[in-house]
Formats: sequence, structure tokens, C-alpha cells
Amino acid sequence: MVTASPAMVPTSQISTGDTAWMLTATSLVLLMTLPGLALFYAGMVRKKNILGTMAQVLATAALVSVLWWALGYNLAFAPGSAWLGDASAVWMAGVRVDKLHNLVSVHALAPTVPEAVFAMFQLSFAVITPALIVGAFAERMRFAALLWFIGLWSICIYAPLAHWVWSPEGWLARRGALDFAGGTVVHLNAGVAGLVAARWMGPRAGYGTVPLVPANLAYTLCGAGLLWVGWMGFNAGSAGAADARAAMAMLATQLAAAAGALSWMLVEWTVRRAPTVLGLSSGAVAGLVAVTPASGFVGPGAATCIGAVAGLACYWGATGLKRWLRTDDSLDVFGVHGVGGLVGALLTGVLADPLVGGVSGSLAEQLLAVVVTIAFSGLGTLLILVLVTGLLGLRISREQEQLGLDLAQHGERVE
Amino acid sequence: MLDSEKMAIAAHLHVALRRRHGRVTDVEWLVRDATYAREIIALALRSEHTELHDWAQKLALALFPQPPVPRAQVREPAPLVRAEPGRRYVGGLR
Repeated sequence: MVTASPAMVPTSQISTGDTAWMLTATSLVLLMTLPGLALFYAGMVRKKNILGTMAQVLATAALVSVLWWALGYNLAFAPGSAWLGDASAVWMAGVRVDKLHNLVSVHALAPTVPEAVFAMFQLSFAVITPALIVGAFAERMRFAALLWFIGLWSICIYAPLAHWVWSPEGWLARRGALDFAGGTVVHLNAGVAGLVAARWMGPRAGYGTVPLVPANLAYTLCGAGLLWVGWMGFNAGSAGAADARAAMAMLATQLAAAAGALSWMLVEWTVRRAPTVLGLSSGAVAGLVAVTPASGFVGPGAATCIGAVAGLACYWGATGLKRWLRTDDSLDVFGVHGVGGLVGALLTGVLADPLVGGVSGSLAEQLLAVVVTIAFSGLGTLLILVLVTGLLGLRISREQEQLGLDLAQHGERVE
Repeated sequence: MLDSEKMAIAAHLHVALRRRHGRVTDVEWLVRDATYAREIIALALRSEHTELHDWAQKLALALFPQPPVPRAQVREPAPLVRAEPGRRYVGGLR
């Protein structure tokens, strides 16, 4: 049986190939947030909110990094119960290198790379997940409230869910729920949290009555490109090694992104008579989101199928479902990440190939993981929102919203 | 339309611009000077406030009414991919 206990091992046990790949993959995932996601979101908000939105993404990355070191890594990946890690890795206490005795700590989930690399790789996931939520309440949250919300959410929602699904002791992992790189932990989780936050905060002034025109979709395309490339590290890095499974995950990622972009383009071209830049970018991201939980479990054909289905489903999520929900999820975090994560998680249960990942999928277990994620993330996010609202208030004033986040919250603006 | 009616509409636009954007306009000059009026109407139409859109459109109609077009000259416009790009962003991005 796999043990979750970190341990000191001789440095000769470390694979330099695996370590080099995981260092690269970690950098790629960080690139997804900084500047990938920052650009992706900045292009979709109005000009007066570009800097404010980018500041929110950057501040999230900084805050979550420190919190991950202090507590998050411990809660998610230290050995403990089926629900949470114990206190053995607070302040990353177990992450060590002993040069004198040629020893280094490793984690059970990646025994051929130093634990520092594993912890850093997981940190980059912990960073991007709450950063995704920023898009749901774009253009209207106070910066101070954002820091409180993101900090609490990272510790109270992300870390426990990561433990349940990814730690060998996690109760969903033990039941057989499959989530290779974060379909439930990252994308469905962020999507649901974004929807709840957008609903709680209410719509932006003018939403539904005047056009809220994106500032510059060229930024969004650049951001989507960085996300696409960075996603190779996100998914292929989740193999924890430079091996055949990582290679298959990378191929699956590319094909799903391409299929997602094409299927979104086709449906948009048919319905709206125009294949938009935003649609192509969104379709690629939809395919990437949906293949995330499946990438280490499926072959190229299944990955292409997942991407194509995700492009259609997320198009509906960002248009028809959005209208039905009547919620100003500003940049469609739920429509793309929530719906894409849900589709990917369920299809992983259907399409997982034992020859690729060594395990078969179970639709029932995937469905359970999806329901648990929605319930935990939804209720937990709501409680945090209530708390932060009571502490200092979430929304900027009407006048500040009119002025824009850039000037109202940061005293700067794009000329 | 009487000048007093045009003046009334211009006054509404003046008040809305002052309230929404702190912009002060000259009501009488709005009615008398077409160039000035076009500038202010364009400014109001660029705003995000529907109230400003409404008053700007009313003033434009009052000051610059469209000449009647003979029926035979009316043609269906050629189909465009997007006649008014901004409208697609009402209530959603995608």
C-alpha cells in the first residue's frame, strides 16, 4: 500500500530526468497564471479595469504562495486522516535537503524527485485555482476583500479538496475517483466558487442593459496561448515523472485543446455567423479544462472526443446556461471551467483506459466526486463570502465602479 | 418641433451629463450650434448609461431629423457579420 509519509532518501534515488522535467513543468504552470491568466482576463474586462484585474491575479499568486508554505501544503499533502493532513508539514517542515549526508526528502506521490519540486509543483496549482475565480466577480470587488476571500478560500476549500482527491489517504481517492490534474479540484471547484461569488456580489452596474465591451481581445488571445502551452506542464507534469504516461498526457492535452477550439468555432459560426477570436480562445481553454482530469488515463482518440464535447458544452455554458442562471459571472468562469471540469470528470469515468493509466474509471465514483466538489465548494465559498462581507464588505462603491478598479483601488490607469 | 421643445430635451441631456460624468454643457448652444451638438451627442452615446443614450438619441432626432426617403429608394442593407459589435456584449461576453 502506498504511504503518504514524506521521507529522507539518499540523493542517488533521485532521477535527474524526472527532476528536470518537473522543474520545467512547474515553471510552465506558473506561466499559466503569470502572465497567462492575467492577460486572458485583462483583455475581457473594460479598459478602466485592466490593471485592477491583473493586480488581483498577481496578488493571488503571491498570497497563496506564502499560505501554501505556511499551511496549505501541510493540509493537502501531509500524512494524516482521510480528511486532512496532520501538522507534520506546517511551514513545510519536512521539505529538506541534507547536503552533508546526501539525503533529500521526497513525497510518496513523486518518489523520484526532491520534495521541494513536488511542493512547488503543487503550489503552482494552488495559485492558479483561486486566480481563476477572480474572473467571476471581475470589475467590482474591493482589493482588500479579495485578499481575505482568496486567503480563506485557499486554506479552507482548496487544500481539503486536494487532500480528498489527490492524497493517497484522501477519502475520494480511496474510493477510486480519478482526477489526473485537477478537473474537480481545480476547475469545477473554481467554477462553482466563481458562480456562488458572482451571485452573492450581484451584477455589475449596467449588466444586461448596456454593452460591457472587452478592452482588448488581443490580450485575451495572448493569454489563451500562454495557457495552452503552459497546460502541457499542468497535465504532463502531473505524471510526476518524465515517462510514457507524461508523454501521452501531453499528446492528449494538445488534441483536446485543438478539438475544443474547433468545435466551439463551428457551433459559434453556425449560430452567430462569425468565428470569433474570443470563441476560438475559449474553445481551446474548454478543451484543456475537460481533458485535465482525463489526461493521464486516456489515449489520443478519447482526448479528442473529450475536447470536442467540451467545446460544445462550454459554449452552451457561457451562453444559454449563463442566461438561464441570470448571474453576472463576468468572464464565464463557471461556463468554461465549471462546465468543462464537470464534463471532463464524468467522461474520465467513461473513457479511462487501463492501458494508459493502469486503472479503469467508474462513472458512479466520478459522479460522487463531482457532487461532493459542488456541494463543498458551493457551501464553503458562501460561508467565506458571508464572513468577509461582515468583516469589511466585498463591493466597491457605485462611484468607484464607475471610475474603474484601476484608479479607484490602485491609483493607476492604462493610458 | 418648436425650439422650446428642443431646449427642453437639451436641458435633460445637460442634467444627465452633469450628474453622471460631471460634464457641464451649454444648453442654448446645444440647440443653436450643430457642430457642438453633434460632439455632445457623440460623447453621451459613448457613455455606459442608458439614460444618456436615451436623451442623446432624442436630441439627435429633434435637431437632425432624417429627410423622408422615397419608397423606391429604400433597400435592404447588405448582410453584415456584425452590424453593431457593441450590442453583442450586453448581458454576456461570448
